[in-house]
Amino acid sequence: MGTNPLFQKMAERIDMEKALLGLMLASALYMIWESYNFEIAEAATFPRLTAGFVVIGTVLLFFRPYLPEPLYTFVAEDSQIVGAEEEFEPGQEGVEVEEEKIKTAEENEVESEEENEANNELESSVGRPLPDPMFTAFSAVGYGIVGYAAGILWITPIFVAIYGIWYKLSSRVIIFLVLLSFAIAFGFMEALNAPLDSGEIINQGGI
Amino acid sequence: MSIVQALMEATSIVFSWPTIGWVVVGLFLGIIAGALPGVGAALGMAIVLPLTLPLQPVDALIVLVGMYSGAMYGGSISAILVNVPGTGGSAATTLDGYPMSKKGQAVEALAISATASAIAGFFSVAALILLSPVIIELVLAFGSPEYFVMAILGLALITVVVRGSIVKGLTAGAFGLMITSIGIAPNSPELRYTFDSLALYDGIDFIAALIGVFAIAEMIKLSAQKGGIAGEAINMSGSALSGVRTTLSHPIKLLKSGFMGMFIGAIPGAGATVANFFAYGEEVRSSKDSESFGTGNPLGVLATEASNNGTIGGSLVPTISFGIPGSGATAVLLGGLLLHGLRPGPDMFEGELATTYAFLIALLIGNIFILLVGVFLVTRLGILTKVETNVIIPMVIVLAILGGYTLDTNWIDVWTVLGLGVIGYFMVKYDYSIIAFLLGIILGEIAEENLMRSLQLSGGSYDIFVMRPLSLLLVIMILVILFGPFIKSKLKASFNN
Repeated sequence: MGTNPLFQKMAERIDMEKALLGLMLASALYMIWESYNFEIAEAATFPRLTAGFVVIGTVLLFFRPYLPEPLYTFVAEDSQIVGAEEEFEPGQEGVEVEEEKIKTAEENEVESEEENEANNELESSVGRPLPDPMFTAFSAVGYGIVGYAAGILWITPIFVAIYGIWYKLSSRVIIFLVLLSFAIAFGFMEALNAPLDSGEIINQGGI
Repeated sequence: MSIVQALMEATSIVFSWPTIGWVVVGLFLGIIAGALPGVGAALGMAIVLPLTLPLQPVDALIVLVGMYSGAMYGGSISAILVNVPGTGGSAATTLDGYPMSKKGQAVEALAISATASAIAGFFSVAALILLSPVIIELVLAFGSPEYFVMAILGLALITVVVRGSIVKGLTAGAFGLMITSIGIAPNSPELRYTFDSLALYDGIDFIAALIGVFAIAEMIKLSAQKGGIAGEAINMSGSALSGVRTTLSHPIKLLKSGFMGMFIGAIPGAGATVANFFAYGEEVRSSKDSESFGTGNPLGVLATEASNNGTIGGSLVPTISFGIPGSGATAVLLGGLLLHGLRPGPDMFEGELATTYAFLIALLIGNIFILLVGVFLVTRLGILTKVETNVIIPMVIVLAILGGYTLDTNWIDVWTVLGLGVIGYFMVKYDYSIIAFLLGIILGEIAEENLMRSLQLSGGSYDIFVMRPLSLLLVIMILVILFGPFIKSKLKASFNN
């Protein structure tokens, strides 16, 4: 049982795949509609083609449970001809998925591990009120927004310190990471001549 | 410039200072990125990409391909020592590598990995250099219609090869292509979807997209994994020289796995993970002692590690010839090419032939470096696998945001990194191919340019894509790839009935 039933309930109720498809569909429809306002007709060809394809794809995916059989197979089922794991996913999942192909007898075990992984995503590993992926996403976005307001150079060590405290890292590790992150940000500022020390809302002139 | 002249110029470039230093830096960074579970080649390269901006294009590419090669080897370190592959391309290495470690042969397994990676990588890149005159002829036969259809073929191949539904993959790819419509149109001065914001005139930066999808999305995903990755403590025992001897005493197996990797690597979307398991399966099938695989057979490590480094040479063929990356790492490499003003295609084999050969020669030399590191520093590399994910995550996020901002000191790039990072996380979670999505973003501008140029040539008619023999062949291939598996299964079912 997780430590954060409220977030678990929320996460279970919101179908994030539908939200993702909704975002794609809405942006594609907007792009098609806006393309009719272009002054140069040729400039609308590519956006209309690609957005049109996105509209067709998302509508098919939205309504896949209601599609007749041949179309349902094409839209919803795996049509793997070689069998690859995207190289984006390094880690244990790669082993699980690929071993599945070699050791088909272990299918059930792998499935239960995947279920566990899905449940893990809704829990905090350090007894905090937010699930770990949610905290990581929120803290990264917060880091960007506060960095925009006050200057990334100053916000970087604060973000790292908060992250370390949230995950209960030892104070020695946190101090090391804070110093390292500040050194990296300072290095970026000096090497690439970027105004990382100034914010857009406060501390506008930098220090 | 003749091929021989280009090769000689490339050799002198690679052996000049500081270029030779960048070869070592790239490999070293790649080994670290590969050995850190959850980081890997694509993420490591994406983070380093903005830092290559001040470098000469050839040096920048050498750093990136060095990282690619180094990470492919580095992934085996955590696979062997803690049973967690640093990259997907080392997944099958765990099957015999980790049991070898548990039997007290960790150093031997790491030495086999280094030797097999280095030799197979060397021969696959050497074969690529030898085959380059043939590739050049093929690439020069392509015109605008063929390049446009080739981009679509690449997307089709990737969506079919990776897991999940074709429609999901194609929609993700089309979404990526659609996003590139933001900004000034490539063939006309029309401003599209900029909301009157000057920062959006140049559109969405594909490097920011790469950083977001590889760094932020992967860190959100990694944070869901509980605790550290370190398993039971492994004693760094065994003989490195014994590992080298074992590898050298099986030259046929080594080259077979390496060239198998090269062939599979040339298929967009297949990449090192598929090659890794194909080579392992073939080794088990052809062995008289197949029972011993999975319990710490050194040949299991040899085959898998030879194959994944073999993919490097193969995967460069579609990447530099047609701009079709076969994996996340080659997508970043393609981003690096474009970032430094190099266009994949004929340019890479005409005006930039020396640059192309320079990074291939750098890869050859890099394999010698991998061998030296693997054999002499092998006992010290294990420390990389003990780094906790909670330490890696904030540092990668910091590097991603800093890298995004310093691309063009433009906050739109930071919002792209964060926005596409979160979207990328959900795309991975629900099996929408992020490689297809990124390929769409990377190829969008090139695809639109070639589409519009083709339509200008044909007076606005789409017939041009089926009237030329080469483009017609590519269109037929797209149709076969997309609909072939379904038609085949339907035919099979009707025959059975």
